Amino acid sequence: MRMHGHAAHDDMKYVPRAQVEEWRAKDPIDRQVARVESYGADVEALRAEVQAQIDAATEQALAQPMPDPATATDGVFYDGDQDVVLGDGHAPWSGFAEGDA
Amino acid sequence: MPTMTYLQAISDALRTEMRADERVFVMGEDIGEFGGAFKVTEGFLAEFGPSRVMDTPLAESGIVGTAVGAAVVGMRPVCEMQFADFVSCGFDQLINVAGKMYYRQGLPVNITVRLPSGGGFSGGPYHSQNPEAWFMHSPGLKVVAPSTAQDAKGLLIAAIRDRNPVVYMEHKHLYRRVKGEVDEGSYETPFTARVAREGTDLTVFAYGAMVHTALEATEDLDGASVEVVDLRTLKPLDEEAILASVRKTSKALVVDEANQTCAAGAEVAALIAEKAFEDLDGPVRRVATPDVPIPFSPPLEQAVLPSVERIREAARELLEY
Repeated sequence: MRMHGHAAHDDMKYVPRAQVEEWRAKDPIDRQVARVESYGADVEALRAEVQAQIDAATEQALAQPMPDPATATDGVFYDGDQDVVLGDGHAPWSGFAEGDA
Repeated sequence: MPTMTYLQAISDALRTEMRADERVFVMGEDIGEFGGAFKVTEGFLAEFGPSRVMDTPLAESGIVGTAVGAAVVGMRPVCEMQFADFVSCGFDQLINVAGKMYYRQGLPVNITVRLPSGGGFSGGPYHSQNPEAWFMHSPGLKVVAPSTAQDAKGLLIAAIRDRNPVVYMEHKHLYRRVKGEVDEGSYETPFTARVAREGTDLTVFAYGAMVHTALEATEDLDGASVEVVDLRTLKPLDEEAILASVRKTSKALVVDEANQTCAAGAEVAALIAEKAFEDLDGPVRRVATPDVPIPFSPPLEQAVLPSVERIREAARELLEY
């Protein structure tokens, strides 16, 4: 169930209120919070950590100068020969965090 | 130097890279126990085991998507589409995910997608297509299309090693029809064009199976000296080689087995018109398959695919300028 309209312009008035409330009670994210808390996880601390990461990334992005239009066609292909791979495996929410296994 | 068919050369490339680099693995429909619809991966399961020779469900989106995920964490997957035609089911992962990942997120997607393509054997509309232009049009993908056994091996090795997504067009009609000497061991064929036959009066540009049709059509053409350029790589196009040949012969005929509108040859023709106009002694002519699904009926299929006769006729008209 989608609990919000498509975007800020969409107030979702076309969805019956009772239907929204029925599904709000079954929200899988809320249920997952209850589940992981029952295992002893500190969900609020996790939320704060993720929010801090988002805030820091947002701040960093906003602090950048706007890109030079001359670079618009750069970076379509990777021309180097380094192994560039995703992340460092740091995913504390996955349950497989370092030292956790 | 061993002699191999085009198909054996493709297998040899895969086997060579899988032996040399444990990050390379293959995925596709019926490629394991069955060895693939065309037997390209015959014996691979026994040699490399099920973790590197993965039989997948009939789910092209899942095949390409899994490959993208494996690539961004450092693997070098090679996906087989059982027929090029079926790649339309894997389009979103290839076009929107693989092709744009590096530009958007700085993550190279080191995947190769093999597309058994082309017609000429009454395969009908779902087993005969030449969809290379779809991928040329989409930023972030490279497209290669070998015509010889030697290039089939070298281009596949180069594709696997290239850090970007590469669409590898392998023409089914060449699998067992084309044979040639193939270097042993490992080598890369550069993503450039190749002069298949030198000439001075006219250039025919072609790739894949049409290179052979063009060579046959112009071998003995009223004494004319006809150059045949095998494009080999469609994205990026080898502009320098294309323009150099036109500057020498002043006449260009562009052949596509693909449907005509927006085909690879249209890009070649546009390039020549834009950058070699002053060197031309006649219009850029094209021979391609008309915009029609490939018919199953043998006489109808032969009527639409570019033939030796159609190429000869177009070349003769152009030579008269």
